[in-house]
Amino acid sequence: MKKKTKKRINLIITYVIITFIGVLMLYPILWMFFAAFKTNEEIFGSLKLLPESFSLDSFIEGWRSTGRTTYTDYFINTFKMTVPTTLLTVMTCSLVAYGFARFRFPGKKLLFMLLIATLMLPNAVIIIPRYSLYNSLGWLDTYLPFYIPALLGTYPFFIFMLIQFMRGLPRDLDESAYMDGCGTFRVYWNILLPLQKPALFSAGLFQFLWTYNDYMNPLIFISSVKKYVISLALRLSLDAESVVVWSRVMAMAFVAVLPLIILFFAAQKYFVEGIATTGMKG
Amino acid sequence: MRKISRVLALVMCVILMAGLCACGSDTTGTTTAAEAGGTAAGETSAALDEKHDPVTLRFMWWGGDERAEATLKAIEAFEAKYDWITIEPEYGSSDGYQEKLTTQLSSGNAADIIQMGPGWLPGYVKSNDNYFIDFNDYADRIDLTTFESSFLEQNGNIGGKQYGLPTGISGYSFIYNKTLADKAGILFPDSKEEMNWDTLIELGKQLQAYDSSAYLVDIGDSELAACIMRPYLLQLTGSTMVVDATAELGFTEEELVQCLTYIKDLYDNKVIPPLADIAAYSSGDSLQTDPKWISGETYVGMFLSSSTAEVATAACPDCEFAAGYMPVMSSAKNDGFYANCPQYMCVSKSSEHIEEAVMFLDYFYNSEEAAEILTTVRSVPPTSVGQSVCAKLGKLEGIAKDTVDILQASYHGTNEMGMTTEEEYGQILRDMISQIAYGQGTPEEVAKNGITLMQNFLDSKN
Repeated sequence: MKKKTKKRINLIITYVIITFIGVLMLYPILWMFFAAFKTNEEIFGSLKLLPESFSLDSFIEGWRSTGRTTYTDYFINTFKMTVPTTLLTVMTCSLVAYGFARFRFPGKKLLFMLLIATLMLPNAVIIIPRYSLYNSLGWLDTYLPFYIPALLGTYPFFIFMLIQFMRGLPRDLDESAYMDGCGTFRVYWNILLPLQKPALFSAGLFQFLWTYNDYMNPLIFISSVKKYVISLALRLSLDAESVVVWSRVMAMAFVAVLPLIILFFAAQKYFVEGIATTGMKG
Repeated sequence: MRKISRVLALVMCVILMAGLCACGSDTTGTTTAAEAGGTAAGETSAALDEKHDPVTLRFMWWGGDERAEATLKAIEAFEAKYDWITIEPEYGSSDGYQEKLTTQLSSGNAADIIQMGPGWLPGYVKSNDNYFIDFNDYADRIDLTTFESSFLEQNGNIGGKQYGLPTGISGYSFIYNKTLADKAGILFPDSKEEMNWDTLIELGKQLQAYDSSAYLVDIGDSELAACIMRPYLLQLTGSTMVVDATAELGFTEEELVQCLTYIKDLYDNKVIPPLADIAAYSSGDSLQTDPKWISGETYVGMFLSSSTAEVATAACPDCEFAAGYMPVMSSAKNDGFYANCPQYMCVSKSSEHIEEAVMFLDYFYNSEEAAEILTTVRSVPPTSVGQSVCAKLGKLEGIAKDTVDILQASYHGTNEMGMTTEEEYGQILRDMISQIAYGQGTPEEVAKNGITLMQNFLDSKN
């Protein structure tokens, strides 16, 4: 009995601490949500969390943006950019990882070293060569600078992650499949791919998040407003020479993070599973 | 083993092929489109008044919602009039604009019509004088007589070539919170003659006596460079900070020491707030986002570009603001302050449709319809057409107009453009000011060090 109450008290304390930290973490998002209902003076002039009055005007006005292109367009553009990029990344990265994890071929060590070396390369260094390359290919102001690198498996981080995961899968499975008459591609498609699911999910989720949140690359590669993605659209109304209606910016920023929040909660299981198992070795 | 590698090779080949096909088809697509565009341009300029092939222009600007909405409306009205021309807007915030523009200019795919920061133009023209057209060459397509000719000469004109057209009239000005000034019993002089640099310090002391937590002027390092240091030296020496023709400094070390000592006096007498207090707000015209400015109880005045005056006053809706006079020393050789413009419009020379772009700018500047739509979204219009339309609509009122009126009536300093407006040089000025602000050296030491850096900068330009 005593042991039980002690356990219960411990549990309560744990929950209180977790709840407190959770609220602390969520506070910025809460603040952003309530700021969408405040006037500029309220935002800058008072420390209160709750607004004086609630009205949906800033959401409606904010969504309308400048009239010609609205947030409907920006959202469609964002998904046009992120969804194919994510799918292509997952497809090609797992294929490349399969090659590195399961086969021995001449130059494998060198190629693997190259792959890891590109992982160390900061994005800022290659942005200018990439810009001039895409410019001469005529890809600027399209989403091709996002699709094609994903199609060619140029995300070493995910490849590395998937290699690590695949090394954890027992080779016996492959061997018995070969014994039953499977070819190399069949082994990949029917045996390894289904087993890789947690790692594939986490790679896909990360790639989705990163592409969705990316500001730098769209800024450089996309120029016409009708192709703008959300990260660019959010910056549109911020300018030193005009009065910024912060409630609209906050309202749209909140709408923009909503898909990510939903995605995170829906796919939470895979997030944790994927990260936890990639480091494991069999 | 051999079989495995063969299959792998096959798979790799398939992927490579898929990649190549995707790239291949796309590139050919764009080249044909570009070729078609090229021939279309030729035909249009040959027969502008008869048959028109569709023309698409790209127009790039920065600005907030209000400016974007008005400009988009003006574009629509223009497109309705000239139905074969489509204008593709490319707008965003001022943040990162210059970086993007520089990348685009150097790789030759800049927009056809470009909104340009006045400080950047000399640098761009110096690095390549083929980036932008000279509007004088297209005088038959755009009426430049609606601008005051002396204003055009001072703005956007480099070596006799009109690379940029000013979009409006503005300049560094002084505004103050009348509500707070009245409460503290501060009386700002209402003429240029009565306002000198010592007046600022005296008024600052007066305010400190009233409330020791209040400061007379809200100012950060970039405004100190633009509104105190540059005008002070200009008034003292009568020469710009750098004489571009000879690439020499236009002031002596003693004169710089005198100027820095004055800035130190401002800090010592608590006329201006410690830099550490406002460091978070002092970059990128954001002093008006400081809660202390918004509350309207700490800072009385502010030096700013008149194009941001409306924003600064809107931040504190309960206060009444007025435009003040800028300080001038009694023996000034130059007024130090002047009216210039917040941005230019340029047309890129690599454009395939220069004539249509110039036609649009003619509409943008000289048509009454456009003036009615655009009003003062790019500050007080520079053309006679724009001004008369805005006056009729009652748009020429308010704090921005008041500051411009003061500038135009009383201040005719030299517009400093050239090497002194380059980013690197501006950074040296801001660094000197920070050193003074944080007490990292006496004015003599800071001046000596600063002059060495400026000299190095000038040497690197030769």
